[in-house]
Amino acid sequence: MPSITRRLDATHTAQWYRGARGSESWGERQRCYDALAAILDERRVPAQPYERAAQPTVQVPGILTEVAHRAHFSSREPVYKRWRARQAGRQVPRWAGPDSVIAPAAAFIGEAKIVAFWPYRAGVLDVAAAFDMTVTETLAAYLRSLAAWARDHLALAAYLPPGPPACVIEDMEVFGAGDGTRAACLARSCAVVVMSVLADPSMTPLGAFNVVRDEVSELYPDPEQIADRVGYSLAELSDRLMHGVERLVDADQASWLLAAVNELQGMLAAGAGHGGPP
Amino acid sequence: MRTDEASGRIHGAAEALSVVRTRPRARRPAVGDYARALLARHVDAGTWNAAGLPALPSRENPVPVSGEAAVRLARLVVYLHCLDLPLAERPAVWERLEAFFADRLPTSAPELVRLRLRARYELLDAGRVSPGVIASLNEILEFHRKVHGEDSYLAGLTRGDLSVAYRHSGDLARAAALIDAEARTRTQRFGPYHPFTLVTRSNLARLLLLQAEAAEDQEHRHGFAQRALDIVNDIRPARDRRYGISAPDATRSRRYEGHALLLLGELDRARACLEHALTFQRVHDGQQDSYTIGQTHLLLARVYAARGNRSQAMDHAGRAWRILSAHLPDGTDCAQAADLARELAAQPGAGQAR
Repeated sequence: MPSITRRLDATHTAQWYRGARGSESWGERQRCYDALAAILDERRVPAQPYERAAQPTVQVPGILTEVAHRAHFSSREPVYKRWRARQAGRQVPRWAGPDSVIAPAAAFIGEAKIVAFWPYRAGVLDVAAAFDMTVTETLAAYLRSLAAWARDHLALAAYLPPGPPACVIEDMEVFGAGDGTRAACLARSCAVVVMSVLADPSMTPLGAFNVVRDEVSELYPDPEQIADRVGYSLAELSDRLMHGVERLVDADQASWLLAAVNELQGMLAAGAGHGGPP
Repeated sequence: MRTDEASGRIHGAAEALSVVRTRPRARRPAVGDYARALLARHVDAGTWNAAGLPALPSRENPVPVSGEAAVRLARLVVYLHCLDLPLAERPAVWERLEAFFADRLPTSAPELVRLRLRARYELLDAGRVSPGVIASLNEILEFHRKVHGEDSYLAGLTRGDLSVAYRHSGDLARAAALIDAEARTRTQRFGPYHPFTLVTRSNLARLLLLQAEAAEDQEHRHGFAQRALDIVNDIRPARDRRYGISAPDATRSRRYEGHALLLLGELDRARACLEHALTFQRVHDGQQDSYTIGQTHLLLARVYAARGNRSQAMDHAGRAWRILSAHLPDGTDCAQAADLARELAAQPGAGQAR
């Protein structure tokens, strides 16, 4: 398993999710998520014909009460207590932890976003492990899957505060590999991807990824691109040499380049399996 | 596993597989096998295989998934399967896939409409344009305009395909008007170097090259070719930087550049440009004879013929004909390669040329 998938498999949320799913009370939590999905489906406002079907921000007053009603709990309390800050004795702690500033409704919505996104993330990691994907490949797939999630869960993605599930922040810290600035840039890219889909739900995952592709590429000077850069330079050089070598390189430079190219030829031949230099 | 979980997992896996499949052929793993094995877990392999689609291994009790997830993965399976088929044989596979899901999804299901668009695009790629195809594309465009909005992503995508249809049908002026407007819209919305805009601008350059080829006088030919060259010179560095120099999009720009230079009479530069394009195409396609490699050989044959190097011209024309006829024996590119090869062979001294 490549190290990136191993590290993504060990985040706080990954551990929380495994523990929560293995719990006997997971079924009741799932009832609440299902009820939320049904409530949000009903509240989707159909777009006007020929107008862009942008998804507006969603907020449902008294959401926990509505969920309790929809999921056939006897009162709001069984739902509320699952997502309140004080968690003593709960089989599944809330993802948001014991911070009392985070209200139960916000903790519930935040968790619902994570749980809905998790299968998309898992699908990416399955393939990343199977094909030994590089960090940049995995990141591209992650961002595309995030767009696919937003498209499939428009109202949830648009629920206040609109944007990706909170777990992307720690995932981007993994991709940032200790570089806080890079992790913050990547987290912003995740938000842009989701907001692009909310602005135009017909946007494909590739289209949404393309919106941030340049910014993401700049954060990852991929070693594999060295071959591309050398190839590009060689192509440009040979193209321009046809129009007058004296304007581009002097005699010393030409000799140096020739020696370098000859040296490189031997190494490349070995690397390509054509045997070493004669 | 619940249906929504299985669907999400498929979407995630499909996006990751789509990333892996862009690796150069030499480093591309058996993505198709993986995708087929995954699909077999979620559709009835017996019915699928009976429909003449790429064979799936049989699995008991497939887990149901949403129509969109099933179509997404099935499209990937068919796409990967078709990479090894000649262009002429691909539309039939896509039509079978469309029929498979048309029996299972409502006619106006968005995923079915997108699949229909893809199937029509394959017809265009195979040069099979008919009034029926254009009518169908117009219906799809109307659907996306109405459901997603006039300037939505999918409406724009369909407009681009419709422009390609007009181009193939020979209505270059209509195609140019459509793609020109679309390029402006995308530039305004996404910026000039957004990948979505670059595709449209590249299509516009291609169209200008065709208009140059069809122009009756040199002034017009040069005017169209110069416009195409200006566009390509602007978009190629962006594509090189974004995708890498040997990626198909970057190489396509290089080929268009060589084509424009050929039409402008700058033969040395055209030759260098096309030789590079050929090198990069081979790197990416692993020496496979893709259709675009055939097109590059055809352009190189024309360049060498114009330079008076009949030996090289005949060599490239022969290679072009061999590749293009394997893909689309009735295509215009193939006919051009055959005509050029005949013309070169008929020149005095042709027997000694090789």
